[in-house]
Amino acid sequence: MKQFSLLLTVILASSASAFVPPSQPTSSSSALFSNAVDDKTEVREYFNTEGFNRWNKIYSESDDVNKVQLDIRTGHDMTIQKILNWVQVDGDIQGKTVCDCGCGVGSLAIPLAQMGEFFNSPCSLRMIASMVLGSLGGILPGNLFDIFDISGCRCNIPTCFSPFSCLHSRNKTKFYI
Amino acid sequence: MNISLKYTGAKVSASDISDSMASEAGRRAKELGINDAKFYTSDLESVTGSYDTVTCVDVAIHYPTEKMTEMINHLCSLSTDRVFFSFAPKTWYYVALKKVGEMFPGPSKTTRAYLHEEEVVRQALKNAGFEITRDEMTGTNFYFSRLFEARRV
Repeated sequence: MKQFSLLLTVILASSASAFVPPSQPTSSSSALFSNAVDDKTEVREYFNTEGFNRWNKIYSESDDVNKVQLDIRTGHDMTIQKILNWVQVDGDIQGKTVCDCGCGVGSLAIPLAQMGEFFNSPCSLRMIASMVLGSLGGILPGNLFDIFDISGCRCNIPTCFSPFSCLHSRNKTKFYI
Repeated sequence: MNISLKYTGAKVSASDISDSMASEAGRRAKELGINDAKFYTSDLESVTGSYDTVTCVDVAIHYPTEKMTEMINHLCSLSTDRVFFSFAPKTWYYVALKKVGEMFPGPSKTTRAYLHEEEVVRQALKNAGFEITRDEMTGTNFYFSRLFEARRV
């Protein structure tokens, strides 16, 4: 009950919630009799206008979100990550066809299209180069990383050991050997 | 030597009912160097084709209860192997929370939100010839999502 009261407080303090009512004032009884076409029209219009602006921010790294929206972002990311983890464990997504229905801003479709990137990414090449050269001589030349144009790689070497932490460095990168 | 890397992940075809959303997804993908994924505008019922995996994540909250079974059946018909499907589960706690939320509408309005009976989803997948192979529940303070992976039997 304490938890519930806390939630209530947060709802009252927030300007948005995952469960706020429709844009047209409707009673719960009329919602029961709403048909799918009306829902579809409403959803389409909402996500082409106000809803697009709101959710595009929620599903991004924008700081312009309130506490509730941040909570929803976190939750949605967790669901996406669980799917990616399953797919990663199975290890056979490369080249498979995927149909994402209701893709939103691409928060699942994009990482699925990128999976397998790890072993080709400049991040992992940097890591591998470090390991190989380190094991050969123990000393890395100071200008090693200048050899690679790694402007698209924003993560450091330790985080690169996790394939998914590399997903934020998603630029198709040209580099030179 | 100039090496231009290409992504080697899944071959993705993604759609959204909102043109703004689908365009933004395509823009983000392109910005990240993904050129072979397809992003287009379509409602769920109009999506056609045959794919290894079909995903529909956090979309069902916009779908009315009476349309759920038909919708899941359609998603399954597009898939030769696997479906990822998530929905907000209809439990007494979430029903109560939704009611509380509705009592205090803020300046931000949104669409109707539908919670779904887990049993209805399970039955719909089964009827479509799929069995649930993995499941998860993700719940934060304001986000609730039951996730199923189902494979064609």
